[in-house]
Amino acid sequence: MKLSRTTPALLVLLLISPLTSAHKRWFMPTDFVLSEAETVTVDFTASNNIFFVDKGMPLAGVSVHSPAGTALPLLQPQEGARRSSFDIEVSEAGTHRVSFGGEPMYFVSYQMPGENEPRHDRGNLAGLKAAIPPEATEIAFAEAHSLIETFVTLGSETAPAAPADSAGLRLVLRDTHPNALYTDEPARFAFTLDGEPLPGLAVSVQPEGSRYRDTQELREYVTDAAGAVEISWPVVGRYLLEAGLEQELGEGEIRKRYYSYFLTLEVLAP
Amino acid sequence: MKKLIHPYQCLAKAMTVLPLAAGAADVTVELEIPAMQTAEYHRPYIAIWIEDARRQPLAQLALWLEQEKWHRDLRSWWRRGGRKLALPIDGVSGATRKPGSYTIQRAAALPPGDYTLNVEAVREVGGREHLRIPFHWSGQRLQDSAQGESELGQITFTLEPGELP
Repeated sequence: MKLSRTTPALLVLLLISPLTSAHKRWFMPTDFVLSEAETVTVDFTASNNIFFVDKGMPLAGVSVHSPAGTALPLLQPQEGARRSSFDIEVSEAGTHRVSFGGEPMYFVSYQMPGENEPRHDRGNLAGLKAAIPPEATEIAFAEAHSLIETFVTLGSETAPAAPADSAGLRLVLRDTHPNALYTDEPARFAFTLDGEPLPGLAVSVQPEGSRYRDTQELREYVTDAAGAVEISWPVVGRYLLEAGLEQELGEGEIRKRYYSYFLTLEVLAP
Repeated sequence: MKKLIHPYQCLAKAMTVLPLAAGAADVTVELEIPAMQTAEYHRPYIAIWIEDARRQPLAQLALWLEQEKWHRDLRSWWRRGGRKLALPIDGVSGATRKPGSYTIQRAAALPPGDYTLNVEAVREVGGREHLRIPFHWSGQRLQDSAQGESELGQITFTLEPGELP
């Protein structure tokens, strides 16, 4: 299904994360901004506890691009139980992009005769299809796209190298730079879906330290007609930005498509 | 050497023991788990317990928990004895509950004195709330209530003279 701004009725936008049981996933670099060339260690984990690592994420699918667009190697890679991590040599001036995308994840639900609850499974599409018993009915697939990013800058911030394509849900680096965030200045971030501005997208930010307080302190926004949100930062520290949407695709093989986007940011004192 | 006990000591002992014999209570806690308007909802972990004036846990009334990994997120309960408990406790431990109204009834050994009823709730990607209802137990029926603001609704607490469990 091709989507554009002129077909908003085809979009069903949920206000919060569509994958209701999915964990938040994030990168956490040791530094967001450097004044001298340095090794930066990046943790990669799935955790709802911001920012304490919980479940290690696979490193296949992680890419790091220098400001000029060179793919940098992941040094000392380690896939641990609670976190995965790798080093990057940040020696080129400007903004580096760390991202994880890759193939979509598929979910299936189907009903088996004589069972009260439908069964659920997830994996790649071919594998899921092969595993469905022949007597199953009410088979429905869903497709989930994820993009997880963070940015690391040496010296002055620059526009990071553009990704290979504009497919899916993406942050547009046009207004506020993600490595120049301060509590006395609101940030403006714009989002696109397959390259088109995306109004009505639910975006939230959450400051670190959720373990030590009684509330999530989630700040929620919805993108305007230009697909942008203006975010103010109540406290200094690191934040997780999360955006997500869900599309109803009708009666085809794949009934729903989910997009989720996670961005780790650092906000400094004025 | 056999210790001699003065008759008055005997009397004094008997006097301290007498109220203890009456120190049993039937405890009723009615609580409300509020429904949430949120896309990502997980049922709250809930602990209900009575502590004494030194904040030592005296009776666990209800423990609605799932993964042990997150028991510590019930911070007050964990600190005040939860981490030392061997779980599950028969008749107290149970699965987490969906939003709704619930009534818990327990018999507790409760000598007259000052206590606090604790109700603590915590929800994954949600909030945490801890309500405390201090009370003085003299063997007479009493009732009190508290109103939660986020993770808990109305809590009503009733104590009646009862049989020792």
